[in-house]
Amino acid sequence: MFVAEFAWEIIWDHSGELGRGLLITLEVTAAGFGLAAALGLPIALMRTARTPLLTVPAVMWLALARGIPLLIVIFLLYYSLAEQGVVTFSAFQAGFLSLGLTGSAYMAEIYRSALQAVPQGQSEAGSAIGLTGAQGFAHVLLPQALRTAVPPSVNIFVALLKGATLLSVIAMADMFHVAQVVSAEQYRPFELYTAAAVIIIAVTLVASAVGSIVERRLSRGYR
Amino acid sequence: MSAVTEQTDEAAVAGRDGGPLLELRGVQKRFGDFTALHPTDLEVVRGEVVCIIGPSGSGKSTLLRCVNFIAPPNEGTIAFDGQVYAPPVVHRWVPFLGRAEARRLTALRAEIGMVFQLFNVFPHLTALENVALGLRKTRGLSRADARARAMAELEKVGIPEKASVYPEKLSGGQKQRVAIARALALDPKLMLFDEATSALDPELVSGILQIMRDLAAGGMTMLVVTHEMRFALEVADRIVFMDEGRIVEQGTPQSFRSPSHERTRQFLRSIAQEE
Amino acid sequence: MSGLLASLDFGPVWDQRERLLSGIGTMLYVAVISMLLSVVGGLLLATMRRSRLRPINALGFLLIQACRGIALYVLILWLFYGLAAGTGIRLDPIPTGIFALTLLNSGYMAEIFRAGFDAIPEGQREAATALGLGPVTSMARIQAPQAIQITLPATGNIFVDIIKDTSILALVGVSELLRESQTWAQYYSRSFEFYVAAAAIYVGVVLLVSFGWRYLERYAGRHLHIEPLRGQRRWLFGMVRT
Repeated sequence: MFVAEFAWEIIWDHSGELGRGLLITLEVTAAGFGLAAALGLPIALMRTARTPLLTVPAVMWLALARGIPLLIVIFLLYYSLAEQGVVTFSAFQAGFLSLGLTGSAYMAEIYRSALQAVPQGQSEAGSAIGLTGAQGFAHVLLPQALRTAVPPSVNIFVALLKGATLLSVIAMADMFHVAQVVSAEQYRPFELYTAAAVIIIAVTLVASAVGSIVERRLSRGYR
Repeated sequence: MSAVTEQTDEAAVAGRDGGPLLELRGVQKRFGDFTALHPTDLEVVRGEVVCIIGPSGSGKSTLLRCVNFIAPPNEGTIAFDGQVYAPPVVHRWVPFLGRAEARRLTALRAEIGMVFQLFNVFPHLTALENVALGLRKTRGLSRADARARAMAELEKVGIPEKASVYPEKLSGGQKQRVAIARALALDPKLMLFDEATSALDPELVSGILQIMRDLAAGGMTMLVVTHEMRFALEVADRIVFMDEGRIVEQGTPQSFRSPSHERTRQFLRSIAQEE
Repeated sequence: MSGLLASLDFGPVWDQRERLLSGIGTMLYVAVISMLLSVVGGLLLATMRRSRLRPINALGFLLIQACRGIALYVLILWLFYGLAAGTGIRLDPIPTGIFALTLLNSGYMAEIFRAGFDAIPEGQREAATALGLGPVTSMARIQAPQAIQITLPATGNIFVDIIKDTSILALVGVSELLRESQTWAQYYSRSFEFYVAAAAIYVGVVLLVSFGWRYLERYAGRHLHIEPLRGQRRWLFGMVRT
């Protein structure tokens, strides 16, 4: 049967390339996550602002970022913008930008609920010792909110990791692209795709497990 | 403008203009349809200790929180140390326009210290850092100066050894001491206590009350919302009884031995029964 | 950028509206079927998890974790290309897509159902037993309606995510919305217009579904007053699954 013919050597021979592909996937995910985390905070603040001048654009952004499938964002950034001559992104750039832009919406929601979770008494105490709004935010609210925000953020990282698997379609040199290229040469797609699939599932599970551990540790020792 | 309340106490220490340190006129607070505080007048003279008593929901905390605009009143004016403050206008579209007023209020709060029922110490900072934060940000002290001063304040409330401990490892009483030190560090002209002992285990209450007693003896102007009748009778220069959002009666502790209003008598009876 | 705006021409998009509409049809077809199957799968897994037999419970746990760990594209690729080459099994893209979507979302639905059933006050089950209702009746008439009301918001989020994920099927040749956009984008060399149009359609569909789902929740809960699951946030446009 086919199991007997499973050509392990193919995987072994190309383990270096697969490994490098994995690395690229992790890099683009990390970069995308960084962007999402950085964008998410200002968007969350805009969303909870008192003036419609800020809330309306924020809500619109959130609607777009959560309503547009990742794949379309990838295509738009990689193909369409280049076609129109606006800007040409490399596959990596288009990759982490699309992950970051779509992820920012989820990070914004995380920040929003984390900030809300800080007891109101904390802001009051900050005001009571003469801190301005900005000072209170920086020194009292944000430090506490960030701690609450970490566990769900890990979930977002894992989700972005899964999303990053799409990037092989724009020829980013990740594992699946390697699998595709090599199987085109060697006509053994089964082994390579299986290997890539298993690796990514393993990485995803490890990341999720790390997230659970972080979550448990943070909620135990603190407060 | 030297409207002084009629009280049998000694005249206040001469202030900036000789008048009361704090003056509330027509201060009102609503939450939606519900009026938590009906238009209220109150004066507090420098060095005076005023205790506010009353049942839950009587508006005592609301009144207190109006003073430093933590929960700004809807109507009325508050005069403090020669300056007058009115409810801030809410600029919905361009909040930027309200920043001058916000700065005034921030400055006001720097001169008024507040101690909360639930302590509200900052959990992510050590005891020392809790006290030092206001010194650094509001008073602009350097890091070293702030730490030194914060240390001194912690000594004054009796927990210098807990300086580098995080609040989660402190008892309720210790947390409240940190909160008091934090408030006192800014050298406020007025201290607000919002049921400072209500959330404490009974054996820790007396420690905090002693700190408050010492503070009063040292001449601090204090506005204290409390359930501790014995404390009020011993320490207060004036007691104010509130019910259903209004001041029903106020006077010296002596006068409260035979109150003029029936509601006051009812309330005092109900407390006495508990003890 | 001005060069961009000036040269935009959505004419071809309008010309191909029928194809795009059929793409929407396929998208909804795949999404609805996958959603229904995921509900079934999720119920199955959740029931396993509530079993008092430890091996079944454990197996359910493992299956749920496995399902949730899947990256959709990876699975589809593997099924469509990898498996085909390795075993000679040729699969149609649409069933493959539905299968993959169902597998992944069964895991999520299982977690949602588990939390939903746990959220029903214990007293409900006890009352049902005390009234002499058998386990089936108890489940069908007492527990399930409440569970449905509790889990409806989170389920809505899953449905929205499934709709968005159908776009991935374009990569294996399913003629859904994205695929149609791609095809005609290449034909007219107007990828920007077509992708923007597709994006707008997705956002529109997601908005419609989200708002419609709210009505569904209100209708389902018209006699009840139950809080939706804590921690399953009411997200308007979709939730990130983990």
